[in-house]
Amino acid sequence: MATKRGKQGLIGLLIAAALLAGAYLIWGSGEENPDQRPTGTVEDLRTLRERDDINVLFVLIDTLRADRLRSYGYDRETSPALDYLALTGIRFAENRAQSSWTKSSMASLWTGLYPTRTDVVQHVDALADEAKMPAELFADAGYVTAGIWRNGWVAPNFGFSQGFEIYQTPIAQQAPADMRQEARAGRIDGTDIDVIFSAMEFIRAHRDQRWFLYIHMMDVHQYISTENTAIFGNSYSDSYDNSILWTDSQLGELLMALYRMDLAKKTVVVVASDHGEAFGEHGTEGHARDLYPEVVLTPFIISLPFKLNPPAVVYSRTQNIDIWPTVLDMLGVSGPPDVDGISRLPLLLDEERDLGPEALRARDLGFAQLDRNWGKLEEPPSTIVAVREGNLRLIHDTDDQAQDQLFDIVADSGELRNLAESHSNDLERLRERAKNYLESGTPWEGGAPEVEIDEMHLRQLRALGYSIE
Amino acid sequence: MNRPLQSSIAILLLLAQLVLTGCGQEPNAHARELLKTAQFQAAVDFLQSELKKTPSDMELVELYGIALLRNRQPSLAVWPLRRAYRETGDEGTALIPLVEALARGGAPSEAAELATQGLEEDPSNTLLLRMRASAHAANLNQDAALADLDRLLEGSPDHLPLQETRANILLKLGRLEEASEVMEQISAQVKADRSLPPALKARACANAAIFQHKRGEIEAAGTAFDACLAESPAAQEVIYPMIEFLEQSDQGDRVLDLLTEQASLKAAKGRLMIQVLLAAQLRGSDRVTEATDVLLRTAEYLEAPQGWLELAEHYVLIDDMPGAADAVANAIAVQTGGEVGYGLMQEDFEMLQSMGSEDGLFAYGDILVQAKRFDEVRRVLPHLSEPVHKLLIEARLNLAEGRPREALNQYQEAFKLWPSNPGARYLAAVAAMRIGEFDEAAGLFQDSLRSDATMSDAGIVLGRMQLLQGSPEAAFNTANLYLMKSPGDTNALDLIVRSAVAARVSGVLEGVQQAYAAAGEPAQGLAQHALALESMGVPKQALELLDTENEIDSPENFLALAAWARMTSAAGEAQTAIERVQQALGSHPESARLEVALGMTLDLDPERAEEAAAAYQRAVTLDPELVEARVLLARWLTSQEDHEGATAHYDQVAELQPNRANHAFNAAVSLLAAGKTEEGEARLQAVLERHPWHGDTAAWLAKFALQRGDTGPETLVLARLAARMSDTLRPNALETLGLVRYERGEMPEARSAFRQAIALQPEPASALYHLGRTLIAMGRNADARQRLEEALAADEAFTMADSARALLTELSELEKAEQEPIEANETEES
Repeated sequence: MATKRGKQGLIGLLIAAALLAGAYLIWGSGEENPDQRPTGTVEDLRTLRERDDINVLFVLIDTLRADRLRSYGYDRETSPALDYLALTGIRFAENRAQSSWTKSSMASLWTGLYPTRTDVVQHVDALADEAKMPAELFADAGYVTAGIWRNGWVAPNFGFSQGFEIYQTPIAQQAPADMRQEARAGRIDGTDIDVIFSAMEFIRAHRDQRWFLYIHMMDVHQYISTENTAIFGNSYSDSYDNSILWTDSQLGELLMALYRMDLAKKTVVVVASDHGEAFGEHGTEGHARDLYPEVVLTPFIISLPFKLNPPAVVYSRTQNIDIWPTVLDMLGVSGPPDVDGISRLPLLLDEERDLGPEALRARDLGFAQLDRNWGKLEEPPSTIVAVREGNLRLIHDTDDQAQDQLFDIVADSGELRNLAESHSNDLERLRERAKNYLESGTPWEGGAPEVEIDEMHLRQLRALGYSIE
Repeated sequence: MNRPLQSSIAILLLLAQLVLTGCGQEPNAHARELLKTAQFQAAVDFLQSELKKTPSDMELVELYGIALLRNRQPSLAVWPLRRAYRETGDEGTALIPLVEALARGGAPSEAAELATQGLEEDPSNTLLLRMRASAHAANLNQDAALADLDRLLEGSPDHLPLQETRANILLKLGRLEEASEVMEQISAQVKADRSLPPALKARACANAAIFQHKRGEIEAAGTAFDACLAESPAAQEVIYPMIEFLEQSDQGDRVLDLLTEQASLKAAKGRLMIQVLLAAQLRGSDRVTEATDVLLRTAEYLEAPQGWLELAEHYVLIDDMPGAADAVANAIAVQTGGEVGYGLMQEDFEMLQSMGSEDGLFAYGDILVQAKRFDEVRRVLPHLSEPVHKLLIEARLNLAEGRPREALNQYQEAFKLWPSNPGARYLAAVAAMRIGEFDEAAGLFQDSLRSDATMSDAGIVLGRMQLLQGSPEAAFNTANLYLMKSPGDTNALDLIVRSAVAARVSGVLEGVQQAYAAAGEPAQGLAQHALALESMGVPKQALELLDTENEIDSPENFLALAAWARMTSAAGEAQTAIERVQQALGSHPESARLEVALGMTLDLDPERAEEAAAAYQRAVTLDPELVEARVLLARWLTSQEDHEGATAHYDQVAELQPNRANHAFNAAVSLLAAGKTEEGEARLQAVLERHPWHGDTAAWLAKFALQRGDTGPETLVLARLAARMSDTLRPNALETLGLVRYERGEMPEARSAFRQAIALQPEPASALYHLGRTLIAMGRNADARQRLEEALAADEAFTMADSARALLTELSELEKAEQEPIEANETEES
């Protein structure tokens, strides 16, 4: 297996062991762990593509920074359910999103293409019909497909419903009586309880069929928590942690339902996020404003139909565009050709060495992009591109390259010390990569179609806390 | 949520129900019976249980979906209904409920698609057709929605709501003429139907006008509204949409006329909403007294609590808390038939609780604290049933009565229960400031800003604090964040400019100038841009900028003109500068602003200071509310030692700009200079009360406290605040802090403060002397000697020079007596 077995690997295992005790808290004291999945090893990944009974549950937790999860090294117990998935599955330790704004990021996540190729960079842009979405591939393979979402940026009119037989935004039911919410996040109807209940009902109704279910959870974005989960303090940053714990508890309920329906042993659960959240690390709050690590480092966890023992921790750097190439590869579902993302299955199966040094070098390259004027149609684009190559990461400002910043992401993981002046050769090389990246066009004729957003939809989007003109 | 417990109870209930309703009954029949008798939750529970046994019974699955749908859970109903429909297809009966569930449950695209399939089978199904029309509209597929509406109207051509929907869709599609035709048909239909009540007719009339507004025909819409009003003079169906129309079409001035006219109608005397709207308009037009009169008269006329509560709200909005408290007391008196007064009885509270609910009582408590009626607050507190309300009122009371630590603790407790309370976070930050927890205060201001930037000036306060503490980048980011939520706020723009100057970032100034222009303050934007460039040491760029501005000689641009004149004078062309300003003034002889510009230009020459003062005086006479004129005149009066005269002007500007701490501060300092120490100090206390971050004020207060020999914790907080956030008095503030620390016996801290003061002071003799004393107290005599000698070298005649010499003599004697060697590692620098 190609995960690091050195010091980091050992630390990973130690953390995993430490988590073991905490993770079982989700089942409650004295209750037998209802997770009756058999135990397996990474070698068993090879058997998945031969099975015809595997369901896929894709859990997208909006606005979730990886470093606020216990399994990613956080010192607070914010995420027992997610940690349990990581502890019994695969955790990708350093994963980056392709943007810090939901629509652009999700377009890349689903298609496996960088934002410059999806062309979804402005608030009126939609995914082209030609985009081959995982839901379409699953539907073609005979899965029942459903999406349950609460974020207006992944609404059907933006092209995100392609392949889903039913793509539902659940209506708001009763929120918990002890619910707390930070006001800044804006107000959208309901809570993730609505998503979880709808997901449970979907699974109940289709338990004897093969299904692909996408749930998009929003309560972290909305800073929602309850009395029992508001345990970390009162600051804004604490409230964010509280909301992670609350969301995790809701996910725990869904996992419990899966286990109790005895479906876990035939379900792959994939957890990811579209972007993180800033708390002033680089002077900004929230997200969709820049591409620093606090807004692009997101979790990526795969739970398998068997409990992986030992758990796998992948330290090679991954990106959200790798998610579906990896999962589809695992399940033996043919993905679209010519995508930017790559399957990490060979890495897990220790087969990557066969790829040769050049291919491996190419794999250690990643991009993210944001048009800072995504909400302002009247303004010209104001694009920043992040290029990561090896241990260096450049944030290139297309408006004014004098503002370019270069970081050593190993020595300075928070990206606070700009090396642009002292590393001029690296700066130029990565800047060139950024320019080449921006020149790579979309594979679809005409790029991203623009859609009309009516006032009602605009209001919904503004309710998420975004400024759209 | 305890789901296992809930499930257990549900199963028990179900069993009981089975016993009662007949055990032997078929599950399907029993479920149908439950649905028929509207026992939807029971049906859901029953069917869920049955489906565990027979999950593939599609009839049960469908019934389960219907039960969820009827139980108002359409999003959940979608899934079993979809399954049932897929399994049974057209043979089954799941289609209609599934379309309904999809349409109501958040999947309108799928609803439309499925309805189409159903309509292919049964084209006459109007229910499906209506569902599809709605689903198309929800999907923004207006063409398809219109086609369905047309089909529906074929069967019911006179259906008014369908007609109105059709007109709106035509409008969205840009088919204006057809839309107009439909609206005309509706109007004709309404007119012809004599049986329609007047209110309905008025509504139809207003709808036609609204429709014209939506079409963008503003003038026609206005005429149509006028016609409606002529026909139904006091109809609220017309008035409210008309107000909305006027506001949206930039005719806000007409709203006031309309409301004044409506309010004067006899019928409107008791119509609270009209009076409230009128008061709001008056308030917005700075006619606060009239607004108060309107609401007061209405409240007295209505003799209903709601009238007094509206008046209370108005008082809160104009920051008259005693007035608000009185109004609430009146509301209570009216409701209970009791006397108006402050002695509320038990039943009064109960009434208030029932009238305004717990929230009303909480708001009342809050008003009372702000009105400083603390005894009454204590009487309200026991009646608050929500723990968080009680905590927040107690915290505010503690803060108002000078117990900030207790207040902060209570706020922290309250945030556990109510985190999204930006106002409380702001007050908690103030409490933290008062106990010297400045970093915690900054965090709380930050959280208030994050929670709701528009709720308070937390962003401005935090930004100023960051700027004063030498973090211009942080201040810049904070102001930016605040500005994003409060676009056009000139305080934030000012802060951005100051931060940019401090951080030497000129690249943002052009954008800031545009932002000022967008906020309706282009002249201020230009002046700020030019002044910032000048402050950054690039006056040439500033002059270039001003030279490109055509209107620089206009009164609005007086500050830009003055800046130009100053820079031109500095370049050696003083006469050119004066002549240009005089020429501008010649074109606008009555312009107070240009008088100020002239004064500022003349002021550059010390010989012409009196002429400058005369110009300021003329400006004040021409425009008594021109802040710059009064401030400059006050400064001149100060230079002439007319401190009372200066105070009067500063008082005036403090009233004009109450959010600017410096005006009230300057007034207080002028009073001190006038020898009115007691009044000056009281004024400073008030400044700090209102602007708890104002370091210069804290510096004075700390100094006074120290002079009185008070070096207690409150003095220490003041001294620390001053040392940290003083703008102009920082070197002295640091020395004061050192002295407070010294008197408290905190020598390492005192040493640190004196060292910082020495670094900032141009004449550090006094601070060096105090550092020497501190080092003696720390037993570091050699270092002390060095500092005392430096003090005398800096100024051999400074106030404490004799004391310094005496100390040096003492040290020499001590050295002789002890002959103690000084270890190398004991030097002060170590």
